[in-house]
Amino acid sequence: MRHTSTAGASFDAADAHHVLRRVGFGADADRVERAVDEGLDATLDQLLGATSHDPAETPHLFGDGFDRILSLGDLTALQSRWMALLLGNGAPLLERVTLMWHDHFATSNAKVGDVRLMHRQNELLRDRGLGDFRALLHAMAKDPAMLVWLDGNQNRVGSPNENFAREVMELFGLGIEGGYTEGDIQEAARAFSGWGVQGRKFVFREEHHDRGEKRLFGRGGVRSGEDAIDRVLAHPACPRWIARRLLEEFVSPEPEAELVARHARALAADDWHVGRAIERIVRDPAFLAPSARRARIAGPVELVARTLISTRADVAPLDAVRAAGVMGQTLFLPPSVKGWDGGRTWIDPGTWLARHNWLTEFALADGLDGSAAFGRTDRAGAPDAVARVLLPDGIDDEMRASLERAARSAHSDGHAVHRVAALVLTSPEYHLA
Amino acid sequence: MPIRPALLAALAAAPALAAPPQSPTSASGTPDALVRFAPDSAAVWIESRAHGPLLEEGLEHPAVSALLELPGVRESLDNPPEDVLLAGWSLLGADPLEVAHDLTADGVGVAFVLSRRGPRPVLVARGTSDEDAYEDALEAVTHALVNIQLAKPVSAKRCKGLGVLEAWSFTGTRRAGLARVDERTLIVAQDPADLEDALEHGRRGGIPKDMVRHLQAAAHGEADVFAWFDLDRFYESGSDLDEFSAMPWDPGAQIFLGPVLSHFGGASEASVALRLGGNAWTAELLGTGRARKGADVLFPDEERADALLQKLPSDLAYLELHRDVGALLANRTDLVGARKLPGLAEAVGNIGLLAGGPDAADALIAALEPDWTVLVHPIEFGETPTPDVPLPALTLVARLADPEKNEARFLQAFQSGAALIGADRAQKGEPNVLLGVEMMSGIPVYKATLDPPGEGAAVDLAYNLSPGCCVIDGVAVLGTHYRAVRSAAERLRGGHDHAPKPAAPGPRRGIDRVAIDGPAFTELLAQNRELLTTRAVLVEGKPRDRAEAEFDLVLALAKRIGRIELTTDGTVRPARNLSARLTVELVDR
Amino acid sequence: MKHGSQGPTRRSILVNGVRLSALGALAPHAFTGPGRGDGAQDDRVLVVLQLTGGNDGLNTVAPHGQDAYYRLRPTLAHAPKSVHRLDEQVGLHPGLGRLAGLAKDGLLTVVHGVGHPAGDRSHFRSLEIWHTAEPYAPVGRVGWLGNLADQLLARDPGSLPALSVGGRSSSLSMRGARATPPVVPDDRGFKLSHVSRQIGKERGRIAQARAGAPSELDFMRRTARIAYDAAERMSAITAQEPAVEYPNTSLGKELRLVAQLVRGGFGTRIFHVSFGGFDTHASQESVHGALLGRVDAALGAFQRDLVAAGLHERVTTLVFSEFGRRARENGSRGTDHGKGAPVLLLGGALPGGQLGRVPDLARLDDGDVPVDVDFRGVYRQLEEDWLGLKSFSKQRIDAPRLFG
Repeated sequence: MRHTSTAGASFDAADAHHVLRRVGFGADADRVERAVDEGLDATLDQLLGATSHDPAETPHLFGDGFDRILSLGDLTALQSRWMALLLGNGAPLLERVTLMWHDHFATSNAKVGDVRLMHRQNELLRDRGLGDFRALLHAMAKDPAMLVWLDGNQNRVGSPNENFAREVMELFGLGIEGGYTEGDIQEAARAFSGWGVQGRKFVFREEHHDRGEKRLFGRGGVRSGEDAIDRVLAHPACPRWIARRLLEEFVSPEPEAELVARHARALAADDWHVGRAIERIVRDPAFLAPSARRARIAGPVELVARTLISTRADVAPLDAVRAAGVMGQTLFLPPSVKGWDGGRTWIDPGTWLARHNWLTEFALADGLDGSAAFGRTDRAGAPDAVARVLLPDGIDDEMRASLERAARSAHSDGHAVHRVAALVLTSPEYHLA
Repeated sequence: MPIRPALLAALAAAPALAAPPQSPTSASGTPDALVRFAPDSAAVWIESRAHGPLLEEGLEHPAVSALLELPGVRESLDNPPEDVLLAGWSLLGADPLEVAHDLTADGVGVAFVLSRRGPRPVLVARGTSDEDAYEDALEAVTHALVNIQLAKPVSAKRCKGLGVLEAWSFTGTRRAGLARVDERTLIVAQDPADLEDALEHGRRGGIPKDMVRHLQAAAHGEADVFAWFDLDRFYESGSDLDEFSAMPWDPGAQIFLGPVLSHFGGASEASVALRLGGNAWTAELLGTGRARKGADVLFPDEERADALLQKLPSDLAYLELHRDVGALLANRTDLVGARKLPGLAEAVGNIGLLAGGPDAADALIAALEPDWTVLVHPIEFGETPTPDVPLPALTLVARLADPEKNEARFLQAFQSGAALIGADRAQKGEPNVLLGVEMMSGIPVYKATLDPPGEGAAVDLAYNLSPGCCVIDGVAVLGTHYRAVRSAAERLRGGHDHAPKPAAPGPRRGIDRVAIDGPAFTELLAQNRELLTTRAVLVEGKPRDRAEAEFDLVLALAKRIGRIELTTDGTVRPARNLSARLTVELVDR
Repeated sequence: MKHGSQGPTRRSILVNGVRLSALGALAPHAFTGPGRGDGAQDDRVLVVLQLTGGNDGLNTVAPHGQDAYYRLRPTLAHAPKSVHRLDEQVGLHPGLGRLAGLAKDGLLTVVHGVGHPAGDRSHFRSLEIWHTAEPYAPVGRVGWLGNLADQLLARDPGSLPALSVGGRSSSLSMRGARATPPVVPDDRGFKLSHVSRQIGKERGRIAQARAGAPSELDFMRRTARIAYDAAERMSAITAQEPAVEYPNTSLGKELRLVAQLVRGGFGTRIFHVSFGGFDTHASQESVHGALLGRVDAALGAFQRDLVAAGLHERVTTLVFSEFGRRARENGSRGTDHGKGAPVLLLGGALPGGQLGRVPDLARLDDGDVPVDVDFRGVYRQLEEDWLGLKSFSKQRIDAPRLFG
């Protein structure tokens, strides 16, 4: 265990909140306090170490019981389960990374239409998401949901379907400016021909496979789909693309080129291990730099989960799933293979009203327990009590004045807390992560 | 909150040994029937005599105590019921159940007047004939109301003007109150106009004309609870009943609910009469109103063929249905609403794909004669893999019109349909559909089964479907599982199932008849406790403990059911006159 | 009209609860900001109605004067007597009586044989082509209406230039490089939750701009203010009963909202509405009739509403589908995916009548109504001539003249 702090001497509640919010989905007042007591390194150690769920805590989400539920073919059950795992907060980093990969390898049940396949892909992301990225990419290429999603069964010698080949470069491995050509996509499509699904399993149909040699990125020697993926992984753009993705998730939406290059080199040198790459990133001074604070716009799932976790609210996972859906992010139903565009596209007047309406209902009508979330306080103390939990980085004078006015005119101390919470939750600041 | 005293009075009771109150439906003929105080504008009238025992026994009443003992029920209440009663006691200075009983012993009715802001209740209560007890009870309530400043007495002069003995008005603006119209009849209204309306109507006497038939027909005048709805008023008030009134134009509702129940939608008046016997509960539904032109083709003629099979003890459910889908399609432009036509066309089109063209679909559907028997019974899997969630099989038995021509058409549609579905599944890489045929004393039974799933793979809900089909002596048998089809065919072949023909045209046996076996159904429910409660948690978003408590409550209730039977009858010409009778036979636990 | 005087006027009228519709004609774009141009086209509105699934053009505008029509469509063709005749050659579907009435008044313009030149028959790809105005290159991320929204937004940064009405997510055509036109998910418009009233005084103040705020925060504050303002104004506008009765269908309610917003001076210039179910491969007659009946009822009410408010020359409506259907009916009394089809345009600024050539069914293109008019030629005129903005397509493609 390391005891030297990477962030210098002091580690305050704002720092702790940043760490817990970025590596996981936020934390309640007690957890933040504990993190401040124990320091940055111990907190990171705990977050990085908690990467599996305990099925004994929620047996109905695992094993045979959940399998029988899947038999009913209801996507809602799958969405609820994932949200329950998120809100249970037993493995916050694991779930954040699973959500990141779900966006990266975006697959929608709208086309796949098979909740078992979606479940299996989700578990694959969970099993491999923090391990060797090369293994993850290989596994995703053969994942049945992905094969249905990107028309694997239709890719045959003589009548190629380029869908998967295009995305393995443009979205999954290299990025749109990854330096490949339309020709590379056509060649890769030949390599993947014959890859399909039979009885919910990956199947290689020899007779549909194009056996000729393919040239990728200016070099020959590619025969199989596996070869093509290896060639993508060997492309210099690949570690940069993946490192950038991780930095966007954990540091800021526009990471500096030098930072990307540094972490890309380290990723490739360290067996492409995603978990350790994340550890390097969160221990990098850039992670706690002022420019990284509140630099990202939180997506709906992240926002809803953070709200419920930090206020210790008891809301049915299904309601959380639906709330995020109205705000523009429905689990297992990304809008396209590009995933959710994220960033500023999360916010338009329509989605802002969806956020506002859900959060005000939560704070003022149904869901929030003011004293459980913020402790007991009178109206004068309400602004600080609420901000301490929801916006510990501090609030500016204008916001403080608004909160105080709202608290003063409330009809009781309890009402003051809920009003102040509604204002903080619907403040634009709160929606930055 | 003016509704609170009304509730106070309506809830609760005491053991006064007065004569049992008259049934609302038998009392209706008498001039002092409570219903005469229902305001003219009332859209709903509900009258009860079933509250007596509840008020007498209070928390000791078996149903109440059973309910309270169920897990989670007590926890879900804001206050324990004992505390509520105690609070009432200290407020009234008397046992609230006893007070309620004395005020309502001879009957209680509630009318609802529709308004823009929601329904406004008007309560009419007739108390015990024990004069002293009644005076005490009324004084307890009115004192309490005055004490907590919810009501104040109305001057004797104004009472006289209103034609009542005494009255208390609720505090606040435009609020009505309590009016004592005779020695033991009290009216409680929220709105002064409603109160005046009720009093005026009471003076005039008489029963709303549209209600009379319903009262007379309801449970032979012996109902414990009677509820009447003036549906036209609901439609006029803009209540959201669009789905309900559109039912007779919805082919889905026609096929699922049948001609009688679907035509309750759009009826002018409807009533429910409940009888709560010791070993059986019955509900009689009546719907009346305008004729529905053309829809009589969906109803059977007087002369009807007998049911083809009878219920066996092993059947979970047994249904005799009259579904003239052929007539529905033939008259679809008249009988189906414009909104539902596209969906119907698509469904027929899909059947057409299986049967070989759109004309073939119509012909195939018309080939099934309208009197159907449907059997629901559990399957012993084994020949086919047991699904993770096994479901009972559904088997439809119906005569074929013109069997010479239609037998081949029917069997062919089954096979080509199964083959098409198989091709689609193969395209998606799902397990193959295998077509097969087995001979049963010279008769082919066609079947379609799924390739077994791989080792260790899940056995999906789809494995409940191993459909089968055959035609035997001009009778078509089609079912979700071929084993059930085979056994139904064997019974048909044996011939012993044919019901004896009545010598002379007897009374009509109704249009639809549904019988459900309680214990078998309960057994199925109990087997799936874990599945259904987890589903309630994940899919309906309920907390686990509540989901389990609710399930156990349903199961406990289901265990008391021996048998459920529903029969429907009626006509839509020259006027709509529909009835349905639901009987729940109870067994001891 | 000076924009400075509009804000306070509107507000005071809202407070007094006076009918807003009266104001609509006076203040067509209440959502004005500093620095916006004052051209004559700044109050023009474009409404796009997408009939998803591939509407059968031949049975929408039926060439009843051609024998080939009856040969190709033995069971589906409309009898010459049943159509609403536009002339001796063509007539509207029997269910389009209200549109036929509009045609008589010169408010309906039909452009024959419109389509995309790529010849793709997939729904998905064809919609992409129509949405991005790009038939050949792989799909871009910006749609043609989004491009218009971008330009309007650049002129007036605080505005809501485009709205999708109905549905959950916005179509590709509405996506801009900067603008993300929101979806009004239901026909009652944007609304603030009931409980939000408890923080009504402070919610807007909390989102006020502050100097020196980081750009993401500044963006969110701006969006929040726009959202609150839009919700308040929309609630006031939708509280007014429309002058015309609309059919109780999703499309009817959505178009009612569009009309309310235009009449109420909400300020949005581009509206997108879609209505699906036109993929009529089997038993087409009843389905197609029911669908067109709804289109007719909704569009008829919409256009009458605009006429009543004197706004019909300010609003142009484009009705399109991703492709027409094959000329010959199939064996299931339906039709399969085809190519060219008429587009319908409504509004008083258009010439009315028919433009382009009536398709000659004796000369089909591989069994299809040929694409005679490239859809981008129609777009260009709507973009440049109608809205006075730059066209999205780089190529200059011509089509029969719609304006002027």
